Amino acid sequence: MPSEDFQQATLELFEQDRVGVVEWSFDFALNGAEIDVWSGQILERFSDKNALLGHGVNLSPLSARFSERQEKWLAHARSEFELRKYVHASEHFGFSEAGPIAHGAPLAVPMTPESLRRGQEMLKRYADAVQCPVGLENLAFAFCMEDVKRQGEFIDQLISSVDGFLLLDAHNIYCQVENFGVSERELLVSYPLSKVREIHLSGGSWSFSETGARLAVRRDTHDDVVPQEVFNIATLALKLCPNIQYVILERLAYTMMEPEQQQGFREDFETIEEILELCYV
Amino acid sequence: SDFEQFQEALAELLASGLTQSEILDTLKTDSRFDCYREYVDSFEPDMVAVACELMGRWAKRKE
Repeated sequence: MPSEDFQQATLELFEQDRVGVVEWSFDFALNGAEIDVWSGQILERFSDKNALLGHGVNLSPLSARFSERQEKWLAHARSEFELRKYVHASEHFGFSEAGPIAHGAPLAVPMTPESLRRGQEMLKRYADAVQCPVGLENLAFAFCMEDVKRQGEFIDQLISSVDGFLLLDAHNIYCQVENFGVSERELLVSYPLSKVREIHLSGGSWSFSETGARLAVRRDTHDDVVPQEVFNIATLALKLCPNIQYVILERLAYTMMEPEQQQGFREDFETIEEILELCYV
Repeated sequence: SDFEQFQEALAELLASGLTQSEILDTLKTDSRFDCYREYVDSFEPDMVAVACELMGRWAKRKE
């Protein structure tokens, strides 16, 4: 959110009081974008009942240099978190600012003592700005198998510096399962599962394999319904992670323009409700 | 300084608009990547192609 198709897809879920928590990508407004009235009311409502999660997109916590843009981003985060009450704040593992790029999609970094130190410093700045628990989301993208196998341990070292949490994205796990041929359970247990407070579910897409080394490349594009494999990973995660408090269904704006797509989103929401009932009731 | 140099060089290369084979050749031969040579040599070409798309087509460049 905020977009017209998102409102159409979710309105009845909000009206039926089936939504327990909302996550807001609060840096959306940093680029001067306006928050519409409907979305603003939802943010206030969920903030008031201590059920609003903050999710950053463009901080780039593992950039090698601390930039002026990041400094401004943190200042924006500070004022946003003073304006509204959030439960916690998260960001994405990886770097999305370097060289000629101001911000893009996050990419993996070499996992060394130096990159660890830079990441820990940035997380401390983030925690200082938002004055609430901060966490990192596992990354779908990997350059190589080393990125896949070591990410969990490295994230654990990063978040430990701020007593932070892991945001476990089930679709990002699925991307690595498909792209690198690892087992979902083996990959899940490489993460600090006791530190998972929140999980994400979403859909994605396939792109052409340039080399033919795999049938296709799974991409975390948030533009389709949730595949069954992701529901399976999320169910396994719910069983393995003892401290999960929040489950978020993600969808990119303007990717549900047809009524059938909006219905598909609601059906995904219903499936999550059923999984939670199965796991916790 | 290795980490800074490496990351700057990687972002610059991925956003360069060079062909896939030119990018893969540069990763193999450019000395700026020598500090993490073993890591870079393990990059999967499919994933480098994805990274080029992310950095080349979707990213916002500095003004």
